[in-house]
Amino acid sequence: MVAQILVDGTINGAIYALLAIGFTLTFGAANILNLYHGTYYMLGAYFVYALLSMFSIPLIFAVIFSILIVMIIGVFLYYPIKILQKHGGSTSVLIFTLVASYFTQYLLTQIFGSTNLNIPSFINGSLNILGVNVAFSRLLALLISLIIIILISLFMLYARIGKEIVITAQDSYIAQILGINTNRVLIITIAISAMLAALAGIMISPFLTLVPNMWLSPLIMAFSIVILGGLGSIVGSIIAAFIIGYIQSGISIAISSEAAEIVILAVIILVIIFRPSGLLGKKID
Amino acid sequence: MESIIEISDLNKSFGGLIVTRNLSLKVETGEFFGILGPNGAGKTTLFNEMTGFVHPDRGKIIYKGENIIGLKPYQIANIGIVRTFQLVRPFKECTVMENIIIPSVSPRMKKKLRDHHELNKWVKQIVEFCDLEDFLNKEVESLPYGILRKLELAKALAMSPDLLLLDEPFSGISEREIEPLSRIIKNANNSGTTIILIEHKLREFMKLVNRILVIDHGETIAMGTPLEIVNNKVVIESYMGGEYNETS
Amino acid sequence: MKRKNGIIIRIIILIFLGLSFFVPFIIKNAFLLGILTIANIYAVFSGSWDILSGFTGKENFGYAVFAGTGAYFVGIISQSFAIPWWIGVPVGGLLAMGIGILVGFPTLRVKGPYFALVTLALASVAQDSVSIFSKITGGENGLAGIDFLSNSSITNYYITLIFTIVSIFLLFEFGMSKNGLILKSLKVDEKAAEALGVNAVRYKLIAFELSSLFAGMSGALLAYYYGYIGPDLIFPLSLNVIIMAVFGGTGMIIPAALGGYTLMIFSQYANSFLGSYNSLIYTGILLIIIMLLPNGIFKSFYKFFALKEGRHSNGEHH
Repeated sequence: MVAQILVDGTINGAIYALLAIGFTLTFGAANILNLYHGTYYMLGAYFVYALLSMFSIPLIFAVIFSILIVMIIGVFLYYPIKILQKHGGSTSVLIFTLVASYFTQYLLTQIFGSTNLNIPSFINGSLNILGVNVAFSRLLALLISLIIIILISLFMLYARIGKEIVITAQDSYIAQILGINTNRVLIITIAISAMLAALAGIMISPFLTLVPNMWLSPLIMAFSIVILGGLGSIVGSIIAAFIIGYIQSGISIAISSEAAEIVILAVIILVIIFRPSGLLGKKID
Repeated sequence: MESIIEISDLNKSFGGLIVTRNLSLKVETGEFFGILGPNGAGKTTLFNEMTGFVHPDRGKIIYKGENIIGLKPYQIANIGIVRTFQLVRPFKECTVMENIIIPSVSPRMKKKLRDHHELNKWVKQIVEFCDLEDFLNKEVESLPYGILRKLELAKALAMSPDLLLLDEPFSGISEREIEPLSRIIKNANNSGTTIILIEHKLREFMKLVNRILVIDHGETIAMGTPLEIVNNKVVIESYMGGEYNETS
Repeated sequence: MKRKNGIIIRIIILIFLGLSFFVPFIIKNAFLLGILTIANIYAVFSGSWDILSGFTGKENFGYAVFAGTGAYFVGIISQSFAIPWWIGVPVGGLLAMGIGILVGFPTLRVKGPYFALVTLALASVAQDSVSIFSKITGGENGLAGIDFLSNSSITNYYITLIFTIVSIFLLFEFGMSKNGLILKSLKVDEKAAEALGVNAVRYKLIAFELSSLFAGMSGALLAYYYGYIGPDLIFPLSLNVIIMAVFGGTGMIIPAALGGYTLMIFSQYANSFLGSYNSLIYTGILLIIIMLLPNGIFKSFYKFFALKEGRHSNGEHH
């Protein structure tokens, strides 16, 4: 059982990290809590399904196009979000993005109906690790996630735009003074967020049935991780993603996945009471 | 004269950056005390530490005999220390009158104003004191910056503060608007309110204050009367520079 | 000046209220009367969401948890023995208020989106809990066998009408008082309010207590009306109450309440011809309203007429 927990926790943790990094970036850089984030995850999976069933293209192309489409949707949504943030404040943005998620859910329900949808695995077969049968696809997902995490970290550290994103995430006012085009930075940040979320959704999807309400759980997971790791901190999100990944797999296997949900909520409330800025986050104003 | 507030060895750093270093000062009741210093010197941080928005790492702030470090901002406002902000913070979607009502129904004022009638009288008094009669029912979004500055002051005065902390009240307004605002501030001091003023507009500053603290990099550079400060070589070097000409 | 501009609006409200008392004399159809009865309850749902989320800006994304506390309390107790609605409703409200204190105390103390996020997660956890503890909660099927409010649709109507009028009146008076003004200042600039002596946490908690109290009472009342309670009735409330309040207009209680009232009536009729497009349309409407008419339908009406009366502004708080 312990081995199962370790394996699941590690793989899930890596995928959750992708989900959380995007979420925390948008919050850090734009002070926007984008509740549509879970929907990027869902749409990533749905678009792969749609592309595969409409055109006979190789899986890899479906994946790439799907991610591109979701990124475009993300950027497209940036404009109403920006306007709402200015005129209505964060409340309007929260409500708008939440309701937009529901809207997308109902739209998908109309289009795809209530039948169960599935995406084929990328690779078949499995490997035995520590006495646990792990599907190759899952290992692939772990590999891809780790690679992307490293690439993103390198990007943030060394690429000029990456550094601009980090500075804007820490203090957008100073970023502007330094001559950074914060508008462009925000758009790129949002595109990256959407990309990471969509990728996470695609990698998980061969193991799940696609349902139109599958945006809510990853959204809750994303912000739980980000609260634990600290709003605005990428490193914090990565660490917290694994912590929560292990908690989740541990309790899911030992008791049930609903129990895991309750425990994670309890953890989050404790974090809010005792250390609201999370492990490594911005100090709360 | 009793000192109304005594700050000793105030220290605060954010990350590795020291914003307040061994800061000490004593302000007498009824004084008009001024704080000078270049941007980033730690003046606003000092106000933040005095009003509970920032928790100092070390030091003491004794107000009327009690150490107030650790009190929350609303508690500090209710014991009589009220601050204004560098950038005005009017309550949007509310009228000028509603803005002034909010502090007027604070716990502090609830103790002093026994009923609805006295509340109305108080609000009227503040409005007249700050020359805002013409703007009573206007929503703040429609008001020019100079009026918003007066409103910022009015809100603070509506708390009936014993110690008023003004953070650059003259910034962003035209020359024409400075004099009336300055007069209101002077009247407040004359009626007994101790005032600590941060301001860059030196001419007005020197006219109002009777003692000055100059700080830079979070530390005390000099303390004294306007005349002493103006002639202090260290101060002139570290801060005044080209602005020196304004004082004459 | 303030009294004068209130007059036309107050007259309209009084006329509306007066008419509502005569409805059962005009509408004899039990089904139609039932729709209005439910609409009465939904008016309190959206009005009570407003006192917290509309006024202080602390978005409650898990309203169903509080309404559900009242409703499920009634449902669960009714399996063992019957309690009359005039006990069940207030007790349900108090229980919901208790949950509110538990949730609000840690999350409202911190500035930032924590309250919103926690309530969102809470709604999800609550829904799962209903499934897990299905022996008690009835799971997907819910719980039936609750004593009806009364045996007459006319009596039902009047009970809910009075409940609604009193509830909305209390919420409105609180919202338009100086306390309500302070709540609004928290939404606009919490830091500035604190610098002027406002104990932000205390006020947010008070607003939340009021909100959960009425949520619990309305939830319980709904259970008594239907004689049944289930997830299908309760959990969509979290989303729907937001749609209703924003549609009507937040920050003044009555527009939000009217939003709930009208949308509920509309949805009962529209269900037959909208069918499965129902939810899509409501969420779509909300997205449009929030972008184009952020003040909501009824609040925009109010602001329009208030301006027409020649005043410069809406100094509404007394």
